[in-house]
Amino acid sequence: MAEPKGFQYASPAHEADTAIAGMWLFLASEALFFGGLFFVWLQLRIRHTGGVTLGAEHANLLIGTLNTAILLTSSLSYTLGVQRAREGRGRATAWAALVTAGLGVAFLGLKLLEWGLDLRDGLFPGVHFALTGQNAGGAHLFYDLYWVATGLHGAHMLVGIGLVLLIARRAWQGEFSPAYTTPVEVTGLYWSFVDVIWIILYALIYVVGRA
Amino acid sequence: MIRLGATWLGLMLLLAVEFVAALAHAGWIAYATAPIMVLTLACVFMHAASASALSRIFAITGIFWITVLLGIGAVDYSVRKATPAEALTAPYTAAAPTE
Repeated sequence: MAEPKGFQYASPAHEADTAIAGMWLFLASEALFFGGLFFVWLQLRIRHTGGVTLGAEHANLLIGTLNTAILLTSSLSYTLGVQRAREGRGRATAWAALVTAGLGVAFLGLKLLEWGLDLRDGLFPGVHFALTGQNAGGAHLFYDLYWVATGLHGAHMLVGIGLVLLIARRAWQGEFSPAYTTPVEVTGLYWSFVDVIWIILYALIYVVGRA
Repeated sequence: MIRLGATWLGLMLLLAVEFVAALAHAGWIAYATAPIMVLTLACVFMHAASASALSRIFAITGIFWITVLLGIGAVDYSVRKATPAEALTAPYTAAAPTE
């Protein structure tokens, strides 16, 4: 396939570098978007330490850990797909992307299961919130953050799965070559970034509070 | 491929450390392991180390502004005398009406 090059670029490599830099800029803005949530957690941890501990002890550590392992594996599978794309192996790239999307769906499936268990256990903020006692107020705030953060992350996962499936289709149709892998690389940046956000959320929601 | 596999294995080991730490009520360990995991993933899977200068500038700028957000926000709360959030831990008591 011929290398596409817009009129405003000096070379195909220049075009690819610009697209990748553009994704990094977008990810920087996304980092600030999630940064607000991390800041809320920081204030909760300082001002409602007991509430964060109470909330974290009721979070489903096993599902959270399994989901983290799934996402780390998905980043590996997609990065292997990027390598295959650089080698011009379209079908192998497509399979790697499909495995990645499958792992993403498995993550969301487990997340739905966890949300269901949370609802059953009364861990949704509101008048029926199940945790009581001296630290219930802080735990309530902790679960406000939990639902917002995991919901926003889940929305990003949905977008990521859609993008990865699109890459799988295009790779299967032979749209990429060793000279043109920009969409594969840019999508990989987004996918791994969503993984990075989850690594931080996993630590903040499931681990640090258990101290 | 070996490098990617080794990176994945390292990340899984760090995840295992966090899991065991959480079970052992030593969750503070994640303050050390999570940043290592993020940096490793960014450098290897996101190719941050070999990215163009412009991409690295954008990545560093993101980290910088997050630091500013968390830093200035923390300073604000550390010097504030009272915050609305305190109402959740201390019951609100209305002042007695004056004649």
